Amino acid sequence: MSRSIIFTVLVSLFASFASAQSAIPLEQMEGSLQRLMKELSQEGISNAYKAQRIQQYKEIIEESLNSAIKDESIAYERIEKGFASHDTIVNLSQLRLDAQGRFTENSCKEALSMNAMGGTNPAEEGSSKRLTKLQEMTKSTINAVCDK
Amino acid sequence: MPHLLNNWKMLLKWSIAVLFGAAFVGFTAPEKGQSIELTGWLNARTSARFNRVDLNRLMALPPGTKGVIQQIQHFSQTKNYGLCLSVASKSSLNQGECVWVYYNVKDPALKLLTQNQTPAPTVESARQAVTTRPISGFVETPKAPAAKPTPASPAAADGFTGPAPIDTQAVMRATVANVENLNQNASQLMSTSNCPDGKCAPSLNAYGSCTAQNNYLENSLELLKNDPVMSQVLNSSGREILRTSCIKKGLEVFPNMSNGFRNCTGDRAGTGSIVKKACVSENYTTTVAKSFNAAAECLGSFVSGTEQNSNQAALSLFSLMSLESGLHINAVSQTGAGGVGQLTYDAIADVNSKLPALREHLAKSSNPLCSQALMKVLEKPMPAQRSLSCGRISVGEGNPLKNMLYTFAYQGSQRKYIQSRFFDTNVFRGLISDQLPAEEKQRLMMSLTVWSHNTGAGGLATPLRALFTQYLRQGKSLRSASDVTQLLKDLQRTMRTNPHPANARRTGETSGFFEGIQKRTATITPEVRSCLAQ
Repeated sequence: MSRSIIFTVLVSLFASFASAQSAIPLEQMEGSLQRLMKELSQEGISNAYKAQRIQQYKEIIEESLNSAIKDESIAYERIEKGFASHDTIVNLSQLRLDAQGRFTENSCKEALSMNAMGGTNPAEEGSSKRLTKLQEMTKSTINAVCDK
Repeated sequence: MPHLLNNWKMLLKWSIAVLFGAAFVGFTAPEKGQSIELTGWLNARTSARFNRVDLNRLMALPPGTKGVIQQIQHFSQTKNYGLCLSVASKSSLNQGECVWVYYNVKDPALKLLTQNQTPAPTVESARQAVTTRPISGFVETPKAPAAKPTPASPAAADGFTGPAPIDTQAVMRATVANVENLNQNASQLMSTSNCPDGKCAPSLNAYGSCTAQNNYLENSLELLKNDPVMSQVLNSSGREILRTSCIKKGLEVFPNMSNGFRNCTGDRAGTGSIVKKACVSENYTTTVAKSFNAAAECLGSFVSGTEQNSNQAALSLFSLMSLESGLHINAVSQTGAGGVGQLTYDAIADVNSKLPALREHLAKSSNPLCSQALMKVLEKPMPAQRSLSCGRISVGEGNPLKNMLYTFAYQGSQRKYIQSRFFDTNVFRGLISDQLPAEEKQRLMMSLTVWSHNTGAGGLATPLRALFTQYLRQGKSLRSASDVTQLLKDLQRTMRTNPHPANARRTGETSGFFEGIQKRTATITPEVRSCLAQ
């Protein structure tokens, strides 16, 4: 129990550090997001804290993309990679807590649905989902936090 | 040899004469007051004009319809008749209304009943004015050399010339009754405050004729009247959101594509058999219109996100369905998509995963049509597999209402996806100016949402991000309706230059989809907003 509290405090400190950052470089965005998802999948952390972390990361990623768009020296291809991370964090941000501190079933389905939508071609019957590695990881993360 | 040939020709002439003579043996001319029963489908018309180009068709009368002859028009050239009937069993006809049908004596689609077979005369038939002899002057039936007869009234291109004495009072009464009926229908349909620059919704003209090839839905549609759920929808006195006249026009202008329609009668669990486009009968139009308005009433706000924009969402869905299927219940595509919304596996699976949320939305409604009737439609999920695609189109499986509910729900998912990435994010803040009117913002949102029905939500997001980024770098922002229109045009181009990887091989289709919707609605009405009843 005490180890869990210590771990939560450490993660909170890291979160404070991350949220204090004004921006994440576009190239590091995906890696940073993957670390966040590993963190979210861990046990012993409250769902309220996970929801807070998702919101913090969303703000950071949006701020980074905003700055990159304004900087005309940055090629669009680099920004486009950042948009994949933005997609991921938007999908995760669909998760909503109920009064008991659990992620609601409807919000979990909404997050999974949005994640799948990014990689499908609905006009073509039976098209494969063609999910990227980031989408697969997002799916696992949503399932992990929603199963608890 | 010439002598033999002449004999042979003579023999042939006599044979033909005998055959034709035999065909007329037993033929009796129709008489006023005589009862008839239809043995095939026949057009009911407001006047004794039976050419295809005559816009006087009221409806198609099914086999078995009985009536009493009130007036007779004889066509001397073809020896055929026009019969004006009082049809007591047709609730859609006004009391005492006399409708004209074509009586082709060589190929009749009706039988004249003898006195013993005559049903008891109705009050309406007794009241009907009758002429004492065939009349003229009342209607003109000029020859139409270029006109092709409709399948239900073969060889109907009779002419009638020459004056004859008429019962003037009877003619006047019949004429007044017919004109009053037409005026009443017209005023009901056109009474709208939303008729900008005279660009009104199409009027609800006569219904198309059905043939043995395209009447295959009629029996299933008739059964819906006794279905516990659909009877509530069909008898609902709820508000009309989208005009029936627009839905009818949408059904009519949709092309009759080969392999474009399937019939699931008797094959509800399979994929059905290929058929022609179903005839746009009154029953068909009413079922589709009532289903659409029920879906719009109960799920319009689910699509738009707010109650005040629900009608705009309904209009967008109508435009989308007009292109996808013409709102035809049993439309299918080569890719396997089916029904009014051309639903695919992914779309159905997505909605199935969200059925609890959808039911929650319906349960909150104070309207029993939503919280009870439509809730029952969603009790059983629609099968997503292509091998069970009759579930998307079969009337017996709750369609077209079920397919419409799924299409509305899927559009709601698409709208949320787009809103979360472009309108509820700080990334593109500054692109949409505060000066942009709320209705234009909504127009942009719904235009993108219906476009994503073809591109996929991700397929729309990829080019839209590229375009938004370009706009921001150029210092552009959306301030007016023309800015929104320009952005939609620019997006068409960007769909080709920056497609989603899943759409890279179909950029022509994805980029032209929204324009295709606009072109299709233009064939329905010049101003699509006039299709909104309120």
